[in-house]
Amino acid sequence: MTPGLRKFVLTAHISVSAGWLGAIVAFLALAVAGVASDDAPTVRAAYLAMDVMGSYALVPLALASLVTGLIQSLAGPWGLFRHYWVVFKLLINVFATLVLVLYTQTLAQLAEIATQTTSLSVVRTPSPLLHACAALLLLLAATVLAVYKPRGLTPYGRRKHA
Amino acid sequence: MGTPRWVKISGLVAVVVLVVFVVVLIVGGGEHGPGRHSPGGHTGPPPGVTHAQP
Repeated sequence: MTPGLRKFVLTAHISVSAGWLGAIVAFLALAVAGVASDDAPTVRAAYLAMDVMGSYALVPLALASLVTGLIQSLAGPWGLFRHYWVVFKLLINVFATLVLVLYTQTLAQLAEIATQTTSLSVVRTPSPLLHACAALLLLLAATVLAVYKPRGLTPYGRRKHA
Repeated sequence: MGTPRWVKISGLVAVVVLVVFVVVLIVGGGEHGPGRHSPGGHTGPPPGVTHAQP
């Protein structure tokens, strides 16, 4: 891969990963409104918006982050399994994406309940808030790893290095 | 050169979180996912719930 193309992939990876993080913060705001607002239309709208956001913003950004990250590490000097920080980032990304894709079913169901019921006690659930907080922690951890790049070669990396 | 300390600590934290999650899941009756948000696990509105006006 040429240096120019490598920089392009790196730019794309940073952009979509930062976008994913930002989308989670926006999702978190909706999740808080869902559990804390006293206004019934706001609460119901929050669950409908979370469903749309999950399918059309979070999932595409997560997948884009995963794909660009894979290309970046495989084509770049770091490799995918040579350094512990890259392996940890990969595990975080795969785990978060997998949970997110599965969680879209829950979001669709919550949105359906929000459209069909008037009782706020039935609509409200802390589940999106908990999932968003966990996702935020995971992505912040991945960001810290990407910035600090802590030392440490995996056994595979040590063999390659020798 | 062995495994770095930050890897051991992070791995330990991940395992502890995973174990706590599994324990909570077991104590909570093993329900997690879309099914837990509606009684009986069906996708329709919960029984006895008033439908919203169009």
